Amino acid sequence: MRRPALEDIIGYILIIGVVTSLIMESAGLVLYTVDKGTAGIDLSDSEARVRSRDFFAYIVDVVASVLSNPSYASVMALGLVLLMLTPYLRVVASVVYFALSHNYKYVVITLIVLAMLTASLIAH
Amino acid sequence: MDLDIVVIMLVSAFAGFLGSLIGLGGGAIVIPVLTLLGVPLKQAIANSMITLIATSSGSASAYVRERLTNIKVAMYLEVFTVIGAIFGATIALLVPSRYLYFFFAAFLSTSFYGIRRRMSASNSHDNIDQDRFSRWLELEGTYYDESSSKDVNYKIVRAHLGGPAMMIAGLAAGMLGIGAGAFKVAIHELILKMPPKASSATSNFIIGMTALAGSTVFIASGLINVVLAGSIAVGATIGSLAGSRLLPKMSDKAVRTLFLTVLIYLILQMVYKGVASP
Repeated sequence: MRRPALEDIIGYILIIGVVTSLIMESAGLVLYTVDKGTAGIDLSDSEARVRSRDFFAYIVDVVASVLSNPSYASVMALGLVLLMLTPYLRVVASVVYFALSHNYKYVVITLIVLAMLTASLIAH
Repeated sequence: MDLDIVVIMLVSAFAGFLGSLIGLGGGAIVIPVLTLLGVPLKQAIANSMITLIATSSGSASAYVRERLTNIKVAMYLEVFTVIGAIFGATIALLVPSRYLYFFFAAFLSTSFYGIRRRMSASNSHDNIDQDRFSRWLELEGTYYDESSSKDVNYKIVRAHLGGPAMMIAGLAAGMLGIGAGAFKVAIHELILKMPPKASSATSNFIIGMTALAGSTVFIASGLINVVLAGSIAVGATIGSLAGSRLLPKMSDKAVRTLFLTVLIYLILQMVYKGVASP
């Protein structure tokens, strides 16, 4: 089988990631309004605050809380996590693609980007 | 005014609409408007930055499948913008908001490049002598130009200068929570000699990555509020889709007038905020 073009793979990753994320955000906004009985935003609401020390551990937490106790905060946090994973996955896809094409110059370049993003996601 | 999901969605939709219409990007508009509504500047920056991933990736998906985006150029430049954005976002958390207002106003001024660009005709990009480093990086491309119905071939030059320049673009983007699209396009066209359409599409693609890099810092800061970020993301994406539909139908003169009015207003507002803040 011929390998699909990198452009097409990336194009689909981007659109699927963004659409899924926006659906979760919209669902979360509806849940919030129903739950709180108001559409007012409280910036000091600690439940709505995202504080992730290690992004990958945070993903596990968010998925677990959506499954066990779906609330506006967990659904919307999952939406934001998916949003951040979208460009991240397109770098992962590029690394794999360049490796399969034996273009090692670009494997190194994309790996540098991936390593910096990963380090920053873990280290804060 | 009280913060409200509907209000935030409406202003974000308006910002996204205007942003894609005048090529400024939603962030540059939504951040000053959020501060007008009473959102603290750093919170406006952090929440707007993460939503930029949505607004840029939507259109990036179309451009990349149309082969307008140059993925290799983007990947090479992202090495630099990612470093810049991570540093920029870290600086944003550390410096007093007062300075950020002034940086914001100063950086918005670089958008005046967009006006000059709309007025100048595109020139030929064939037969450029490529330097060794740019050739080693395989930085060249082809896309089909619909307006002239022919393939446009181009070669990138001076990649060794374009990279570090993009680090500055990333720094500003991360620090101010914006895409810095006009600045990125200027680097692509003036330093790398990339043709306009490939340059806009590639800049749009890179903005998603810069926004992710900045967000990796902000997500740990506690400044991101899911309800605020969600409202901006949904509103801005709808707005920017609508704007990109309307853009081809608007006259250049109308776009230019709108652009100038909005830009000057935003610059004045941010300077005023900077002066007035304690």
